[in-house]
Amino acid sequence: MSDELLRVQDLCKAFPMGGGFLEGRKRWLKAVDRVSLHLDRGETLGLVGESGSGKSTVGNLILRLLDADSGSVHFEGVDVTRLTGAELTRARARMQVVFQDPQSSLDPRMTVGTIVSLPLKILGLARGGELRERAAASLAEVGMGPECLDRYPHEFSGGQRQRIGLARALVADPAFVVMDEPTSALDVSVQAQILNLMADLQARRGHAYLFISHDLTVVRHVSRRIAVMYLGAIVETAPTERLFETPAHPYTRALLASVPVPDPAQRRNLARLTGDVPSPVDLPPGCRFHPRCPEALPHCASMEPPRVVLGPGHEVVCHLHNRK
Amino acid sequence: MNAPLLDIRDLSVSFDTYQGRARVLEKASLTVNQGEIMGLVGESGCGKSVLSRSVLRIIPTPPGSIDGGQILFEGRDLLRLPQGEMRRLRGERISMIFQEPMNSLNPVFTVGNQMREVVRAHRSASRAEATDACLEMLDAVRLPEPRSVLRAFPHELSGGMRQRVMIAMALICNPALLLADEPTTALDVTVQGQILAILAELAGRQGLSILFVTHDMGVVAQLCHRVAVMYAGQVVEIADVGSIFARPAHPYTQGLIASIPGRVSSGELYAIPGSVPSPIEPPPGCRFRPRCPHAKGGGCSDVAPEMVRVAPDHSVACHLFTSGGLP
Amino acid sequence: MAAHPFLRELQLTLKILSRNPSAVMGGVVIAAMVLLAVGAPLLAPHDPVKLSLGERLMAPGAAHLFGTDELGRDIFSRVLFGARISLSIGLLVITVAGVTGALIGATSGYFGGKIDNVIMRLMDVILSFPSLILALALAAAMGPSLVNAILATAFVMIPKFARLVRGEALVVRELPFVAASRVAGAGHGFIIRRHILPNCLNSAIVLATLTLGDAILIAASLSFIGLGAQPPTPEWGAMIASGRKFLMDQWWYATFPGLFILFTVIGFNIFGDALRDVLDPRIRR
Repeated sequence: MSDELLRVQDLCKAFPMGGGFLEGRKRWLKAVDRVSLHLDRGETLGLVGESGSGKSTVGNLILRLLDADSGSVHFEGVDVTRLTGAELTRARARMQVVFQDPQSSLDPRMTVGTIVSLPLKILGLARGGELRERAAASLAEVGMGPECLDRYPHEFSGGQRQRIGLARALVADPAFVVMDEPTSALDVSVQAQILNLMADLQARRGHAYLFISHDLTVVRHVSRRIAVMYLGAIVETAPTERLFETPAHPYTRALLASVPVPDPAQRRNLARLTGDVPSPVDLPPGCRFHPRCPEALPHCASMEPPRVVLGPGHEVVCHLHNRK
Repeated sequence: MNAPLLDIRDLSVSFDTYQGRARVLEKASLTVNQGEIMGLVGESGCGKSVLSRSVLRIIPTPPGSIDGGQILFEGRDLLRLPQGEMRRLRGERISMIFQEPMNSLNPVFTVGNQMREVVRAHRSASRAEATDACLEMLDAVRLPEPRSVLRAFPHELSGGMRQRVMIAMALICNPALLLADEPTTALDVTVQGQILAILAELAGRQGLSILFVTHDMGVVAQLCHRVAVMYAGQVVEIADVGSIFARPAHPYTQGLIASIPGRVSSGELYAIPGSVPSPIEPPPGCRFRPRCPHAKGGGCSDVAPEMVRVAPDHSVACHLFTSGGLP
Repeated sequence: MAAHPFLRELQLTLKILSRNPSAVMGGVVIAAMVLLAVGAPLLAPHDPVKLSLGERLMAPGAAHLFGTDELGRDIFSRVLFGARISLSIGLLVITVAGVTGALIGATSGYFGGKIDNVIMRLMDVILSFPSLILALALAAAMGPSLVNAILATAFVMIPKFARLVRGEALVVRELPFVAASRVAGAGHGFIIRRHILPNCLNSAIVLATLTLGDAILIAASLSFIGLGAQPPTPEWGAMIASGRKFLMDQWWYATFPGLFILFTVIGFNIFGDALRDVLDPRIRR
């Protein structure tokens, strides 16, 4: 497996809830609970989940925007959870991020040229006129002309701003980019432009993407493999087509069934689950999905579900598949 | 066929901005029939929310102003109705639900308090009668334990529950028309499914008409009977939902449907080139012309296309279909 | 179009301001004050400190527009030169307080946690005193002089800026563009300097405009008590102080400097209010 770029092992992160000094017992929100995943060079892994599933926290932990409580993140063979100072900076030169909100992911006080060249400046990879040149080159790669350099973010539409965000992410030539809901705030026609651009850039430059999204149709379009998260844990991982054809976890099935298919000839009951995603504070015992699970077995409420391998690259964490 | 419940004709609305006058709606027309779910789709800034808000006359004036057109509801022009009558109509015959259910509920009162208030604002009812009406409605939107929901404050409910409370509140006076402005956009997909199922059932069982504003073609396909597609302040195509997806006529509608991911499993998505024009200086002629793959010189850039009927329940505003082709 | 992007922004701000009636009104008052202050040597008919005991306490008239004081000095000339002093005091105070306060607030808000707690409690201590009393005590402790009065006034104004900027910093530090810079390896100093401070600038400018009047008032009050500008410096507060004895019979002596303080303070307040509206990005477009 010389192609492996990233391996995340048993990553955990809990946030204290409340716990003001008058409140006594602190409660813990388990945002990420023993998450493991891996990513090869030039590959896209989709990370899907609803709000509160912890998918963005996983991205932030990998990028070291947050420090993990336990577990490891091996990036190009080095465990970045333990790096500090210059070593961390060196690892970061190879990782980048694109955020959801094209409004707030660009500093409104900086010109586009400054924004795009900022990673180079921070990492000390270029200076002076070279900064501008490389910013222009990066902008050209995302389909924007050099006249953008001296303008401010608010002069651009959402789609254009997301292109600028991509240009910033790619200017230092990273090996790995976390795409945190990069098209969720965009209209479909613009979303299509950005998705095509991302695929095109990946084909040309060989970046690996961790594509975080709540939108299964988008994830299906961009990813080779998909990991499904529910309340802080990955419940199923599978190659994309396999996940859509034979989803194994009841949550994955419900999620797939809830997606409104853009075809009036295929109408179906979208209300496959009852209730909302519960709060990740004070998780239920046993399987975290059992209170909403239409197929729950009696012991789901008491026993942690096992991890079962169903095929090449297809793993599920569920009692239903435990055939022992 | 009977006269439509809601008949919007040539509605034009503009907003004053520092950059100039933005013509947000330009002669938009559509109808909603009794018991029908009418989808209103378009991308951000196309004017779909302004259109739905104009029906209730809740756009802020100034900076907004309704420059022309008619909004006929049950035969009466809402734009000419006196304020008092308009107020009575709101909530009683027409109500509205919004994208963010948290902002639409007052955080300092319990759900019961706010719901009862709505009931008693429109009819004389004792507290107990009002409570009964609330419980019945909460039950209709499938909220478990309606009694405890009535006692709860908005922040104690989840997003999906809040949206259900909002629907219950909107429907408690048995309105004929519900305006739904992206009511599921802020919700998780599994919760969205539940809300859509409730709305479909209400329309089917109680004959409620819904004008459903959304940007999500998937939701439209699953929920709506007919669809109006808006682009840059104009309604460019209206048809039954089957025709819109099977035989989209307007090049914009075609592009919108082709750019949805997941219809082709991989490969290049179709993307409409360029971006939405500014409502302050829209392109002359057809507003979609600068992005249109079929645009021709002359007619497309000079004359705004009129709505023409291409099939029994299918109209489109595009020069490809105007009689005798291009002028 | 070819202009520097910053200039284009400035141009837009000015364009929007020019359509706002209260901004225009406040701006005109401020501009008039600045013109009077700058042009004082040209506009003043008399030397502001030259004694002329023969013309003591003359009523306003053709010779002396605003009359004369008890030493025969022309009040109009003194008020004009006083504008120079009061405006520069205001600007100095706001600059010192604004820069210090912004730095403190940005640091406090950006780091949060214990650092934030300690700094903000310190600021609360300063705020818990009435600002005039605290400025008075400080000025008295440091000894009566204009510089000390400026420093004392600036000191009591620091918490206002610190709290405002801290509040903004708390918001800005959570925004994705800060995370993007952190992913690229940016340090704390870089983020505070390049992201936090520039994004707090708008509201700091608004606060500066709104408090400039206060600063002039406090400095004038200190001079009034004798802790600020020393005679014969023509400072408005000091002039009111000495004119106070004559208020019953020679109303003009204290009234004109008072009116100028009033106009200046109101001018800056109106302008600051309008500026707050105009710089609000939700209104901009």
